[in-house]
Amino acid sequence: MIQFRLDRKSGMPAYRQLVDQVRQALRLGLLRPGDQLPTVRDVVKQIAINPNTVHRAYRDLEQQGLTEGRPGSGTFITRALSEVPARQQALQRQLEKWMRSARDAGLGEEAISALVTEAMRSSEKEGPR
Amino acid sequence: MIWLAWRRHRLALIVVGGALAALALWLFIVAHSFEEAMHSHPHNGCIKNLIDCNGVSHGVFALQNQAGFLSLFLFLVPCLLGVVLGAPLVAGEIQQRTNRLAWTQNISRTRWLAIKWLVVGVIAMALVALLQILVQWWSGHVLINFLETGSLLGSNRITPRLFGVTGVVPIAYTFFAFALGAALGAIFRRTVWAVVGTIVVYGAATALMVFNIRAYQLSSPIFVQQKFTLSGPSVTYVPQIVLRQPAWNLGYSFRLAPGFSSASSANEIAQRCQDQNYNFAPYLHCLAAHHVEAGSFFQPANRYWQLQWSEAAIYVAAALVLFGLALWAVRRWRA
Amino acid sequence: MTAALETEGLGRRYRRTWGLRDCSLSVPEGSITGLVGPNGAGKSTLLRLAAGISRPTTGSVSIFGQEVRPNSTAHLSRIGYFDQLRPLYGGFRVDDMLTLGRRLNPNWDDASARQWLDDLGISTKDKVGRLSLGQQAEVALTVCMGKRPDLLLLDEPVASLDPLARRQLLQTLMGTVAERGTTVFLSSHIVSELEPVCDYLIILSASHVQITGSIDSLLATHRVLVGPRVDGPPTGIDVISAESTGRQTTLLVRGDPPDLGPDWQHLQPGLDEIVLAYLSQPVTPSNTSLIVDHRPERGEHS
Repeated sequence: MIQFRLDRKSGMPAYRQLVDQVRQALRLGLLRPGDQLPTVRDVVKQIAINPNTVHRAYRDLEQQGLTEGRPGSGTFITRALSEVPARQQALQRQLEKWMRSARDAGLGEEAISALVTEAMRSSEKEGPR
Repeated sequence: MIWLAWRRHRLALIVVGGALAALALWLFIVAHSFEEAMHSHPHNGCIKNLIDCNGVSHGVFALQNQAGFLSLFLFLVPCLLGVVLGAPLVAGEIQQRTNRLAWTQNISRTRWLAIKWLVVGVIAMALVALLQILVQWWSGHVLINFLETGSLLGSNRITPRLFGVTGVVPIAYTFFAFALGAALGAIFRRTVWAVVGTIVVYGAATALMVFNIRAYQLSSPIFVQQKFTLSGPSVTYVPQIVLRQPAWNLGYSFRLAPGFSSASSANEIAQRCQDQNYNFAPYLHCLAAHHVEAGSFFQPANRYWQLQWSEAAIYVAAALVLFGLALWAVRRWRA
Repeated sequence: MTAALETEGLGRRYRRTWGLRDCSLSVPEGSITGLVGPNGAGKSTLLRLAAGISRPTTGSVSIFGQEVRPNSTAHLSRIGYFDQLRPLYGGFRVDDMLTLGRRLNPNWDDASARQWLDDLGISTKDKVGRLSLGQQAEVALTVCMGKRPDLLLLDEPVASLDPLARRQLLQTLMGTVAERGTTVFLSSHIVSELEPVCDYLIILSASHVQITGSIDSLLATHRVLVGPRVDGPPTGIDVISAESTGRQTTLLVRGDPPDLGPDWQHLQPGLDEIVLAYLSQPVTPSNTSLIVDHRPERGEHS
């Protein structure tokens, strides 16, 4: 079973961190379709956060189609992130291209980091699609 | 809640019980030692009759001192119990803030106090009652038998020195002192102030009871008039006023002869007569003219149990009133 | 949905000073609401008024719709109160504290209480007076939660606890809340403690409520604006706090800030920044504004 952790300094909302950790686990094959996610109670007992946050994360995952909740049993993974790796590679190539452009424009590490963070924040506002 | 009241106060109750047991043991040892002393040397009985006591072993005098000390110490027992068990009952909890724990459980403040109060109060009374059984025997056996002069067994228990430590009143005193400590603790919310207040009020109440209420109010004392014979300027009178039965002598005093009333008290009239007349015979004439009798008041010993129960009832009633006071203070207290 | 705790114009005066004044708030049922403010702000006063230990000077407080009156006992079965001083009976063993809970509360859940203590590694044979500060807090919390309250009132539950004890206590608390849907109202003067566990926040300072709202909306509706130095606050924006150095002004504003130009940076403040801004310039009488957003549903207990 996946073990969650909370990074309080990251500035990312807690529920997003949980969602990302599930997605990362799927990506790495640590979670497979059919696996059960820990109960809300077990999660909050482990990392002492608001149960609501966990509910929200699980709802998010359900909306993304990655999990389903079976009443009485728990929350289970329904599919893998199989199609994402292909997209991911394309995205990574795009990112590397952008990085080179940014460096050519004279941006240092801090400026690039600030731009990336700002872009992440504003895209987060729009929510996942 | 009964469990909690016992568990919370069990240490104090056990310590008090142990102290009283030690006291009982000491009483027993003194009685036993006296027994031995009297049987080994009957001459030791001189200390009772105040005849020449030369040649008596000093051990007997030491025993006499111990017995005297104990008979006075017994007066303190109810007040000490009241202070030790009553003063911290509420004040201790408020000072330690454990009232915030207790008053947020599913129990009303009334029930909380009532059960605590009853559990500790009843146990305190029971402990003193047990002691009293021993003290009753001891006062007769040691104090009267060996020490008091010229009396029948149990007949002089009405004098203050014995009345206050024998019979049932010490149980009532304990109840009262406990209730007083608890009430003052609830009002002052500090154990130390409750202790001081209890001692002061208890002392004042005792004085009021002994010198006024028990002496004159509960039961009208018997008056024995001093006999005078006037023959011209000379006066003959019997110096010692006695009642022909064992009694508590309340002291030389004045009263208006039965059937007469006056605006001033008998003592005031007697004082005026004394101020106006330097010689004894005119002074006596003055008293007689105003129908003032001189003599002594007595409470006869056969009223012992009547006075005991009356006085105990008063103290118990006062204790219940003090419970009401404590309850009012507890319900009113807001952090 | 009834409010678990509701106050209206609540105030408490001690001789000459007001411990709490003009307090009107509403704690939603099923939420975890944090009460934050500096020491002496009135947090303990508010919690004691809610528990019925204190009596209001003005206003009223209600628990699940029922007003808490002096010497009323109706609310006692529904609340669990954790005092800042964590009073326990010194001579008792942990077992005795559980017996206390069992004897005084008809709804007592002995099995859960023993399970919590077992999970925390506290033996019931231990004397309460010999436990560490953290363990004492855990025992006090166990007594609170064991009576199966619908509303927990916790006054600085993790104050002066070491990080391990703090985490253990919060783990136990959150686990129980997840199971039972208990409403929690807890106070602290450290924002970072409250942020991960709370849905709602009430900021209390100088005996007045400064602002209340869900953490999400507090974060969403406040912005930090950094720009060239200005001496008076720009009009048309709700400035909560303003700081200027030689060449720069930093404003913390509420609401959608207008575009002040390219010289101005718009940044997202952290929750502690927001709280600090309200605390540094407390307003009395209060300028409470209740930011109510849609209440997130608890969802099924999975």
